[in-house]
Amino acid sequence: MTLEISQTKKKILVVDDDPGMLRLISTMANPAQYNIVCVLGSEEAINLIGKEGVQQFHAIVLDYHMPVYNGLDLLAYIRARDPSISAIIMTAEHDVEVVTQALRFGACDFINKPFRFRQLLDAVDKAVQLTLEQRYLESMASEIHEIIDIHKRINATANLIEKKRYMDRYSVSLETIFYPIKVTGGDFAHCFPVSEDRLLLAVGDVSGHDITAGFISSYFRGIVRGMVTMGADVKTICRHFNEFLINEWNHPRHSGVITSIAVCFMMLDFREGVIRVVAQGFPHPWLANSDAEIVQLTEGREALGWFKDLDIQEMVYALPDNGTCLLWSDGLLDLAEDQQLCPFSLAHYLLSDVDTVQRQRILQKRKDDIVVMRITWSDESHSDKGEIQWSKCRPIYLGICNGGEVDRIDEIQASWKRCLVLMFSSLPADKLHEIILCIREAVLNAMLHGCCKDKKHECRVQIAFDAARKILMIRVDDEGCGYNQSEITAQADANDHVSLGLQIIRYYTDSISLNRNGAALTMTFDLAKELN
Amino acid sequence: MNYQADESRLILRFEEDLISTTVKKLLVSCRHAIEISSDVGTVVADLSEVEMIDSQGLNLLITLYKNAQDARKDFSVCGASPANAKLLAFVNLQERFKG
Repeated sequence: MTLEISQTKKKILVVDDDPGMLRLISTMANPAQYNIVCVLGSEEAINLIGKEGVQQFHAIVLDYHMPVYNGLDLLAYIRARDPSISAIIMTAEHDVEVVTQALRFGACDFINKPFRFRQLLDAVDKAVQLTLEQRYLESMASEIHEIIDIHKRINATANLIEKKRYMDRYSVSLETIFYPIKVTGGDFAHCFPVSEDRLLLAVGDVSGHDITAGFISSYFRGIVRGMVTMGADVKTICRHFNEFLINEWNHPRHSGVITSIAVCFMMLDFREGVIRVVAQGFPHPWLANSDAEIVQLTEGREALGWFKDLDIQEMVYALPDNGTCLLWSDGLLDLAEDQQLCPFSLAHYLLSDVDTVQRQRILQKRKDDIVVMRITWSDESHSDKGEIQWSKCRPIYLGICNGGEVDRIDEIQASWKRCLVLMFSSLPADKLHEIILCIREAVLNAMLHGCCKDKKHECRVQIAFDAARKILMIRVDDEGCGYNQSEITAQADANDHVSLGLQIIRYYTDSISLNRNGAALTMTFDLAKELN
Repeated sequence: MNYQADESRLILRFEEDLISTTVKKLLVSCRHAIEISSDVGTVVADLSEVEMIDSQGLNLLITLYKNAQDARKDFSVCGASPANAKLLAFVNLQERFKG
């Protein structure tokens, strides 16, 4: 880096206990270029610096051999006040130890007496240049920190929902986390209250993991906010920003890799009772509805900034009275895969308050920025305090397997066991054992009988946790048509595992309900005693 | 699974869980052990190293119990963990499997 040195005179502090040397330097230096401040001895120098500071100087020249405080003592004193100042040590000593120490104390050059005056001037020129560069870098670093702080503030205020209740019925809560791999990054989760009855959520990922990505994410959100305020719909916003990226930001005249934004917009429309989703290159969001089902919403299409003819499709879903939506960036999926965890468990774990060594250990393994948003709403006009409200149950596991995977049941079991162990590390081993056994029985039943061991038929394991009431809710669904009661009785007589498995489940669970003739089984465990 | 027999007892020492993925193989090994130890009067299932028993594992124990009964032998279980003992007690097998 070369900085253009301004025409103003540079101020040089020269400290020596030899008045003759000070006079010589003062006389020889070009008065048009340098303003030489000569100080006799280290004590006087300390007085001067104590009063006037170091920042006014562009370089310092110190004699090593001085009474009271030698040149190195003085150097340490000065650099403690301003590490950016460059210093030259002059000495008649030919001691390697002095040179080594001088360098360690931050001297940038070292001149042996006697020296040629040109040699000193060259050293001073270099020292001035170095000081200017160092101060420029420090000022840049300080500005970058300010920008990062602003970005963090934007992220922190992005999710403050002004209205917690919509249409006087829906109680809404929103939680987000953002773990960049560097000081900041391009992932974001932002909430835009649109009107009395609509809430727009945007979760996205700007390509790159640096301050530029963070800047673009803030800029994008500013554009979205402005356009939403002016009444634009999400598709128009996507088109507008896609054009901006292609025609301006990623214009061929700019060198480097193109910038893109993967984003998912989700509009909760409480009046119309719908969720509108537009996903552009972003992992699909998930909705946990009041039937204890976790469903995948729209697949992500092309990211913004890739192609001019952007394919945008808005998908519309019915808004359940009570529900939870989860949106996460691919950084979470990568980390979940690396840790062999279900992303639901990992998202829930990271959203929770736990601050443990284990959490840090897991986060250290991330290779990408991670952003997660969880929004929960509940129609309080329908709420029954006696019932478990799925909306207040956090989905923590979703596993899908098929009937042809019966022989893999141990491996599949290990996946829900890992998640339960992560979520409930304080749960007694026996209780965990019972829960795992019940899930196993339900899944085996679904694979063997519901799916008839056929790989074309799927079964789903969905686990949710009501953190307030400490109730674990597990739902196992298969694509079969269930059983009739006489079948179950006959099997019970034959000691068939369907019946025995059901008996085990009934024995260990706090409640069990069978729907679709047993093709959908929901069981609960009250863990209040164990977790309190 | 390994087994050990003396003049009066055959001990079936299970070294893996009694679950759907292991029961078939275990049943073959157990039957073989019982066959070649025809003189013993008691068959003991040692569950000390068993972490999990599922419904098919229970069926395995019931099958072994019935096989032993047919051969006029006693059948008992030992070394069950508290969780497995609770399961056996629930299906009323603990009493039946008492040595």
